[in-house]
Amino acid sequence: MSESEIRSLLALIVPSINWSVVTLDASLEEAGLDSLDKANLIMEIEGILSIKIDDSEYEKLDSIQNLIALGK
Amino acid sequence: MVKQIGLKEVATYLPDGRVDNIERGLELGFEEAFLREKVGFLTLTQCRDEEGTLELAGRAVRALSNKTKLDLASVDCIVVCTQNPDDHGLPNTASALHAQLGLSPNCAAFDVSLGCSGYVYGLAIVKSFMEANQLVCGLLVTADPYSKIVDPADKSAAILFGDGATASLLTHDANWSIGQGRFGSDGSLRAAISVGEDGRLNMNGRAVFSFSATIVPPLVKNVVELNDMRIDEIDLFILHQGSRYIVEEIRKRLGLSAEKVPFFAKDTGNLVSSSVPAILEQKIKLEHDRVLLAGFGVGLSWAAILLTRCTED
Repeated sequence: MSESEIRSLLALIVPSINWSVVTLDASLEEAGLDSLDKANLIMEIEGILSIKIDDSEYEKLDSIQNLIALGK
Repeated sequence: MVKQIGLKEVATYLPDGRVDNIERGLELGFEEAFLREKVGFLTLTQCRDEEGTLELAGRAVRALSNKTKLDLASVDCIVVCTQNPDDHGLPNTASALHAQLGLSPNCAAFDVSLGCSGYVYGLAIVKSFMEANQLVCGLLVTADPYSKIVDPADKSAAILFGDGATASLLTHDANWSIGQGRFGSDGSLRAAISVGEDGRLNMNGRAVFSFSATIVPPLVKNVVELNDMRIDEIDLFILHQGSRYIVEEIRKRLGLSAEKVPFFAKDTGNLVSSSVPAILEQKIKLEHDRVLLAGFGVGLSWAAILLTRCTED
Protein backbone atom coordinates (compact mmCIF):
# COMPACT_ATOMS: atom_id res chain seq x y z
CA MET A 1 0.00 0.00 0.00
CA SER A 2 1.12 3.55 -0.62
CA GLU A 3 1.88 6.08 2.10
CA SER A 4 -1.18 8.15 1.17
CA GLU A 5 -3.48 5.13 1.30
CA ILE A 6 -2.20 4.28 4.78
CA ARG A 7 -2.56 7.86 6.00
CA SER A 8 -6.13 7.92 4.61
CA LEU A 9 -6.97 4.71 6.43
CA LEU A 10 -5.51 6.06 9.66
CA ALA A 11 -7.55 9.25 9.27
CA LEU A 12 -10.70 7.20 8.67
CA ILE A 13 -10.18 5.09 11.78
CA VAL A 14 -8.88 7.84 14.09
CA PRO A 15 -10.04 11.17 12.64
CA SER A 16 -9.10 13.09 15.78
CA ILE A 17 -5.37 12.82 14.99
CA ASN A 18 -3.61 14.76 12.23
CA TRP A 19 -1.83 11.83 10.58
CA SER A 20 -0.28 14.01 7.90
CA VAL A 21 2.30 15.30 10.40
CA VAL A 22 3.28 11.86 11.71
CA THR A 23 6.65 10.93 10.22
CA LEU A 24 7.18 7.66 8.39
CA ASP A 25 9.25 6.10 11.16
CA ALA A 26 7.32 7.49 14.13
CA SER A 27 5.64 5.08 16.51
CA LEU A 28 1.91 4.94 15.73
CA GLU A 29 1.20 4.03 19.33
CA GLU A 30 3.01 7.12 20.56
CA ALA A 31 1.12 9.15 17.97
CA GLY A 32 -2.14 8.00 19.58
CA LEU A 33 -3.13 4.75 17.86
CA ASP A 34 -4.51 2.55 20.65
CA SER A 35 -4.71 -1.24 20.58
CA LEU A 36 -8.33 -1.38 19.34
CA ASP A 37 -7.74 1.11 16.54
CA LYS A 38 -4.60 -0.79 15.55
CA ALA A 39 -6.57 -4.04 15.33
CA ASN A 40 -9.10 -2.24 13.15
CA LEU A 41 -6.38 -0.74 10.92
CA ILE A 42 -4.60 -4.04 10.39
CA MET A 43 -7.88 -5.82 9.67
CA GLU A 44 -8.60 -3.25 6.94
CA ILE A 45 -5.11 -3.66 5.47
CA GLU A 46 -5.44 -7.45 5.51
CA GLY A 47 -8.68 -7.09 3.57
CA ILE A 48 -7.26 -4.66 1.01
CA LEU A 49 -4.09 -6.69 0.40
CA SER A 50 -5.79 -10.10 0.78
CA ILE A 51 -3.12 -11.22 3.22
CA LYS A 52 -3.15 -12.67 6.73
CA ILE A 53 -0.77 -11.06 9.21
CA ASP A 54 0.29 -13.35 12.01
CA ASP A 55 0.54 -12.22 15.61
CA SER A 56 4.35 -12.06 15.70
CA GLU A 57 4.48 -9.80 12.64
CA TYR A 58 1.55 -7.75 13.96
CA GLU A 59 3.54 -6.61 16.99
CA LYS A 60 6.19 -5.08 14.72
CA LEU A 61 3.73 -3.00 12.72
CA ASP A 62 4.04 0.26 14.58
CA SER A 63 5.02 2.78 11.91
CA ILE A 64 3.75 3.93 8.54
CA GLN A 65 7.06 2.79 7.08
CA ASN A 66 6.52 -0.79 8.29
CA LEU A 67 2.97 -0.77 6.95
CA ILE A 68 4.12 0.38 3.52
CA ALA A 69 6.48 -2.61 3.40
CA LEU A 70 3.62 -5.05 3.92
CA GLY A 71 2.77 -7.27 0.99
CA LYS A 72 5.94 -6.29 -0.91
CA MET B 1 -50.47 -29.23 14.59
CA VAL B 2 -47.31 -28.16 16.45
CA LYS B 3 -47.95 -25.34 18.88
CA GLN B 4 -45.40 -22.57 18.48
CA ILE B 5 -43.12 -21.89 21.41
CA GLY B 6 -42.09 -18.29 22.11
CA LEU B 7 -40.37 -16.20 24.73
CA LYS B 8 -42.55 -15.13 27.63
CA GLU B 9 -40.26 -13.37 30.09
CA VAL B 10 -36.64 -12.87 31.14
CA ALA B 11 -35.16 -12.23 34.59
CA THR B 12 -31.59 -11.25 35.46
CA TYR B 13 -29.52 -11.80 38.56
CA LEU B 14 -26.46 -9.62 39.08
CA PRO B 15 -24.28 -10.36 42.09
CA ASP B 16 -23.65 -7.57 44.62
CA GLY B 17 -19.89 -7.21 44.07
CA ARG B 18 -18.62 -4.33 41.93
CA VAL B 19 -15.18 -3.65 40.49
CA ASP B 20 -14.29 -0.06 39.61
CA ASN B 21 -13.05 -0.78 36.11
CA ILE B 22 -11.48 2.63 35.62
CA GLU B 23 -9.38 2.11 38.72
CA ARG B 24 -8.43 -1.41 37.65
CA GLY B 25 -7.61 -0.27 34.13
CA LEU B 26 -5.45 2.63 35.31
CA GLU B 27 -3.50 0.23 37.53
CA LEU B 28 -2.92 -1.95 34.46
CA GLY B 29 -1.56 1.02 32.51
CA PHE B 30 -4.53 1.95 30.33
CA GLU B 31 -5.51 5.55 29.60
CA GLU B 32 -8.75 6.68 31.22
CA ALA B 33 -10.17 7.92 27.89
CA PHE B 34 -9.52 4.50 26.34
CA LEU B 35 -11.34 2.78 29.19
CA ARG B 36 -14.34 5.11 29.08
CA GLU B 37 -14.72 5.66 25.35
CA LYS B 38 -13.40 2.48 23.76
CA VAL B 39 -13.86 -0.34 26.27
CA GLY B 40 -16.91 1.34 27.77
CA PHE B 41 -17.23 -0.73 30.95
CA LEU B 42 -17.05 1.60 33.96
CA THR B 43 -18.02 -1.08 36.47
CA LEU B 44 -17.78 -4.88 36.41
CA THR B 45 -20.22 -7.03 38.37
CA GLN B 46 -18.49 -9.68 40.44
CA CYS B 47 -19.72 -12.64 42.46
CA ARG B 48 -18.25 -13.71 45.79
CA ASP B 49 -15.57 -16.41 45.80
CA GLU B 50 -17.97 -18.91 47.32
CA GLU B 51 -20.78 -18.03 44.90
CA GLY B 52 -20.73 -20.70 42.19
CA THR B 53 -22.40 -21.02 38.81
CA LEU B 54 -25.22 -23.08 40.32
CA GLU B 55 -25.98 -20.37 42.87
CA LEU B 56 -26.07 -17.66 40.21
CA ALA B 57 -28.32 -19.80 38.02
CA GLY B 58 -30.67 -20.61 40.90
CA ARG B 59 -31.00 -16.94 41.83
CA ALA B 60 -31.89 -16.05 38.24
CA VAL B 61 -34.59 -18.74 38.11
CA ARG B 62 -36.02 -17.58 41.43
CA ALA B 63 -36.11 -14.00 40.12
CA LEU B 64 -38.00 -15.27 37.08
CA SER B 65 -40.35 -17.34 39.24
CA ASN B 66 -41.15 -14.30 41.42
CA LYS B 67 -41.67 -12.09 38.40
CA THR B 68 -43.97 -14.45 36.51
CA LYS B 69 -45.57 -16.40 39.43
CA LEU B 70 -44.25 -19.47 37.65
CA ASP B 71 -45.09 -22.80 39.27
CA LEU B 72 -41.74 -24.60 39.12
CA ALA B 73 -43.56 -27.96 39.23
CA SER B 74 -44.83 -27.18 35.72
CA VAL B 75 -41.35 -26.85 34.18
CA ASP B 76 -40.74 -29.69 31.76
CA CYS B 77 -37.41 -28.60 30.29
CA ILE B 78 -34.46 -26.70 31.79
CA VAL B 79 -31.36 -25.88 29.75
CA VAL B 80 -28.30 -24.18 31.22
CA CYS B 81 -25.82 -22.38 29.02
CA THR B 82 -22.46 -22.09 30.75
CA GLN B 83 -18.76 -22.62 30.17
CA ASN B 84 -17.89 -22.36 33.83
CA PRO B 85 -19.79 -25.23 35.43
CA ASP B 86 -19.21 -26.14 39.07
CA ASP B 87 -17.56 -29.50 39.81
CA HIS B 88 -15.64 -29.58 36.49
CA GLY B 89 -18.90 -29.92 34.60
CA LEU B 90 -19.65 -33.40 35.85
CA PRO B 91 -22.43 -33.61 36.82
CA ASN B 92 -23.87 -31.02 34.53
CA THR B 93 -25.16 -27.75 35.99
CA ALA B 94 -28.71 -28.30 34.69
CA SER B 95 -29.02 -31.49 36.75
CA ALA B 96 -27.73 -29.73 39.87
CA LEU B 97 -30.18 -26.90 39.23
CA HIS B 98 -32.97 -29.42 38.67
CA ALA B 99 -32.29 -30.81 42.16
CA GLN B 100 -31.86 -27.40 43.79
CA LEU B 101 -35.21 -26.19 42.42
CA GLY B 102 -37.00 -29.49 43.13
CA LEU B 103 -38.17 -29.87 39.54
CA SER B 104 -40.28 -32.77 38.32
CA PRO B 105 -38.67 -36.08 37.27
CA ASN B 106 -40.40 -35.52 33.93
CA CYS B 107 -38.38 -32.35 33.37
CA ALA B 108 -35.52 -32.68 30.87
CA ALA B 109 -32.28 -31.06 32.06
CA PHE B 110 -29.13 -30.50 30.01
CA ASP B 111 -26.30 -28.03 29.48
CA VAL B 112 -25.16 -26.17 26.40
CA SER B 113 -21.45 -25.28 26.31
CA LEU B 114 -21.25 -21.96 24.52
CA GLY B 115 -20.20 -18.45 25.50
CA CYS B 116 -21.36 -15.16 24.06
CA SER B 117 -23.44 -16.75 21.28
CA GLY B 118 -25.05 -19.16 23.77
CA TYR B 119 -28.29 -17.36 24.51
CA VAL B 120 -29.25 -17.06 20.85
CA TYR B 121 -28.33 -20.69 20.22
CA GLY B 122 -30.23 -21.60 23.39
CA LEU B 123 -33.44 -19.92 22.27
CA ALA B 124 -33.41 -21.92 19.04
CA ILE B 125 -32.48 -25.17 20.82
CA VAL B 126 -35.14 -24.90 23.51
CA LYS B 127 -37.86 -23.80 21.08
CA SER B 128 -37.09 -26.68 18.70
CA PHE B 129 -36.79 -29.24 21.52
CA MET B 130 -40.07 -28.16 23.07
CA GLU B 131 -41.99 -28.07 19.80
CA ALA B 132 -40.63 -31.46 18.70
CA ASN B 133 -41.67 -33.06 21.99
CA GLN B 134 -44.83 -31.05 22.66
CA LEU B 135 -43.52 -29.55 25.89
CA VAL B 136 -45.26 -26.58 27.45
CA CYS B 137 -42.98 -24.84 29.90
CA GLY B 138 -39.23 -24.47 29.34
CA LEU B 139 -36.45 -22.53 31.05
CA LEU B 140 -33.28 -21.30 29.42
CA VAL B 141 -30.67 -20.27 31.98
CA THR B 142 -27.36 -18.50 31.32
CA ALA B 143 -24.64 -18.25 33.98
CA ASP B 144 -20.97 -17.59 33.38
CA PRO B 145 -18.91 -16.14 36.24
CA TYR B 146 -15.79 -15.31 34.26
CA SER B 147 -14.22 -13.64 37.31
CA LYS B 148 -13.30 -17.18 38.38
CA ILE B 149 -11.09 -17.69 35.32
CA VAL B 150 -9.83 -14.18 34.55
CA ASP B 151 -6.46 -13.16 35.98
CA PRO B 152 -7.00 -9.61 37.35
CA ALA B 153 -3.48 -8.75 36.16
CA ASP B 154 -4.11 -9.87 32.57
CA LYS B 155 -4.42 -6.71 30.44
CA SER B 156 -6.23 -8.52 27.64
CA ALA B 157 -9.14 -9.75 29.77
CA ALA B 158 -9.23 -8.14 33.22
CA ILE B 159 -11.11 -5.02 32.11
CA LEU B 160 -13.80 -6.81 30.12
CA PHE B 161 -15.89 -9.36 31.97
CA GLY B 162 -18.65 -9.11 34.56
CA ASP B 163 -20.55 -11.89 36.32
CA GLY B 164 -24.26 -12.47 35.97
CA ALA B 165 -27.02 -14.94 35.22
CA THR B 166 -30.39 -14.85 33.49
CA ALA B 167 -33.41 -17.10 33.22
CA SER B 168 -35.91 -17.04 30.35
CA LEU B 169 -39.36 -18.63 30.26
CA LEU B 170 -40.41 -20.21 26.96
CA THR B 171 -43.99 -21.30 26.46
CA HIS B 172 -47.02 -21.15 24.12
CA ASP B 173 -48.52 -18.10 25.75
CA ALA B 174 -45.57 -15.94 24.77
CA ASN B 175 -44.85 -12.22 24.52
CA TRP B 176 -42.31 -12.71 21.73
CA SER B 177 -42.35 -15.07 18.79
CA ILE B 178 -38.97 -16.49 17.85
CA GLY B 179 -38.26 -16.17 14.13
CA GLN B 180 -35.69 -17.87 11.97
CA GLY B 181 -32.06 -17.56 12.86
CA ARG B 182 -28.65 -18.25 11.42
CA PHE B 183 -25.81 -19.99 13.25
CA GLY B 184 -22.19 -20.66 12.44
CA SER B 185 -18.73 -21.49 13.71
CA ASP B 186 -15.08 -21.31 12.74
CA GLY B 187 -13.37 -23.88 14.91
CA SER B 188 -9.96 -23.02 13.46
CA LEU B 189 -10.13 -19.82 15.55
CA ARG B 190 -11.10 -21.57 18.81
CA ALA B 191 -7.81 -20.72 20.56
CA ALA B 192 -8.66 -17.01 20.38
CA ILE B 193 -10.81 -17.40 23.52
CA SER B 194 -9.69 -20.36 25.56
CA VAL B 195 -8.64 -21.49 29.02
CA GLY B 196 -5.03 -22.56 29.44
CA GLU B 197 -3.53 -25.29 31.58
CA ASP B 198 -3.25 -22.78 34.42
CA GLY B 199 -7.04 -22.49 34.44
CA ARG B 200 -6.91 -18.86 33.30
CA LEU B 201 -8.66 -17.30 30.34
CA ASN B 202 -6.50 -16.49 27.31
CA MET B 203 -7.92 -14.02 24.87
CA ASN B 204 -6.54 -12.81 21.56
CA GLY B 205 -8.35 -9.50 21.38
CA ARG B 206 -7.23 -8.75 17.85
CA ALA B 207 -8.53 -12.07 16.48
CA VAL B 208 -11.84 -11.67 18.29
CA PHE B 209 -12.24 -8.11 17.04
CA SER B 210 -11.51 -9.03 13.40
CA PHE B 211 -13.86 -11.99 13.57
CA SER B 212 -16.68 -9.93 15.09
CA ALA B 213 -16.32 -6.98 12.74
CA THR B 214 -16.31 -9.14 9.61
CA ILE B 215 -18.82 -11.88 10.51
CA VAL B 216 -21.56 -10.05 12.38
CA PRO B 217 -22.70 -7.34 9.91
CA PRO B 218 -23.48 -9.84 7.08
CA LEU B 219 -25.00 -12.21 9.66
CA VAL B 220 -27.41 -9.51 10.80
CA LYS B 221 -28.38 -8.63 7.24
CA ASN B 222 -28.87 -12.30 6.41
CA VAL B 223 -31.25 -12.86 9.32
CA VAL B 224 -33.26 -9.76 8.47
CA GLU B 225 -33.74 -11.02 4.89
CA LEU B 226 -34.45 -14.55 6.09
CA ASN B 227 -37.43 -13.20 8.02
CA ASP B 228 -38.68 -11.24 4.98
CA MET B 229 -37.92 -7.91 6.56
CA ARG B 230 -35.96 -4.82 5.64
CA ILE B 231 -33.27 -3.62 8.02
CA ASP B 232 -35.13 -0.35 8.65
CA GLU B 233 -38.12 -2.36 9.90
CA ILE B 234 -36.14 -3.68 12.88
CA ASP B 235 -36.72 -1.51 15.95
CA LEU B 236 -33.74 -2.57 18.02
CA PHE B 237 -30.57 -4.59 17.52
CA ILE B 238 -29.28 -6.22 20.68
CA LEU B 239 -25.69 -7.15 19.97
CA HIS B 240 -23.52 -9.07 22.37
CA GLN B 241 -21.77 -6.40 24.42
CA GLY B 242 -18.13 -7.39 23.91
CA SER B 243 -16.99 -3.77 24.31
CA ARG B 244 -18.27 -0.35 23.31
CA TYR B 245 -15.80 -0.35 20.43
CA ILE B 246 -17.00 -3.58 18.84
CA VAL B 247 -20.67 -2.64 19.19
CA GLU B 248 -19.88 0.71 17.53
CA GLU B 249 -17.83 -0.89 14.77
CA ILE B 250 -20.59 -3.34 13.85
CA ARG B 251 -23.17 -0.54 14.00
CA LYS B 252 -21.12 1.61 11.61
CA ARG B 253 -20.70 -1.28 9.19
CA LEU B 254 -24.46 -1.80 9.20
CA GLY B 255 -25.07 1.92 8.63
CA LEU B 256 -27.45 2.14 11.59
CA SER B 257 -28.02 4.80 14.25
CA ALA B 258 -26.68 4.52 17.79
CA GLU B 259 -30.29 4.61 18.98
CA LYS B 260 -31.00 1.34 17.16
CA VAL B 261 -27.77 -0.37 18.14
CA PRO B 262 -27.04 0.82 21.67
CA PHE B 263 -24.22 -0.02 24.01
CA PHE B 264 -25.84 -0.92 27.29
CA ALA B 265 -23.22 -2.65 29.38
CA LYS B 266 -21.26 0.20 31.01
CA ASP B 267 -22.40 -0.79 34.51
CA THR B 268 -21.86 -4.56 34.22
CA GLY B 269 -19.09 -5.47 31.79
CA ASN B 270 -19.34 -8.24 29.25
CA LEU B 271 -21.70 -10.78 30.82
CA VAL B 272 -20.87 -13.48 28.23
CA SER B 273 -24.01 -15.61 27.57
CA SER B 274 -26.05 -13.35 29.87
CA SER B 275 -25.21 -10.19 27.95
CA VAL B 276 -28.05 -10.37 25.38
CA PRO B 277 -30.87 -11.57 27.70
CA ALA B 278 -29.97 -9.04 30.43
CA ILE B 279 -30.52 -6.26 27.91
CA LEU B 280 -33.65 -7.94 26.62
CA GLU B 281 -35.10 -7.79 30.11
CA GLN B 282 -33.96 -4.34 31.11
CA LYS B 283 -33.91 -2.14 28.03
CA ILE B 284 -36.83 -3.13 25.82
CA LYS B 285 -39.48 -0.42 25.42
CA LEU B 286 -43.08 -0.63 24.28
CA GLU B 287 -42.23 0.79 20.87
CA HIS B 288 -39.84 -2.09 20.20
CA ASP B 289 -41.85 -4.65 18.27
CA ARG B 290 -39.09 -6.29 16.24
CA VAL B 291 -35.81 -6.98 17.94
CA LEU B 292 -32.83 -8.71 16.41
CA LEU B 293 -30.48 -10.57 18.78
CA ALA B 294 -26.90 -11.36 17.80
CA GLY B 295 -24.32 -13.25 19.86
CA PHE B 296 -20.72 -14.01 18.90
CA GLY B 297 -17.62 -15.25 20.66
CA VAL B 298 -16.23 -18.51 22.04
CA GLY B 299 -15.79 -21.20 19.40
CA LEU B 300 -15.48 -18.92 17.56
CA SER B 301 -19.20 -19.04 16.97
CA TRP B 302 -22.02 -16.73 15.98
CA ALA B 303 -25.80 -16.67 16.03
CA ALA B 304 -28.58 -14.21 15.28
CA ILE B 305 -32.34 -14.49 15.53
CA LEU B 306 -35.36 -12.22 15.21
CA LEU B 307 -37.94 -11.71 17.97
CA THR B 308 -41.33 -10.22 17.12
CA ARG B 309 -43.71 -8.96 19.78
CA CYS B 310 -46.90 -11.03 19.89
CA THR B 311 -50.07 -9.04 19.44
CA GLU B 312 -53.45 -9.94 20.91
CA ASP B 313 -55.88 -10.76 18.09
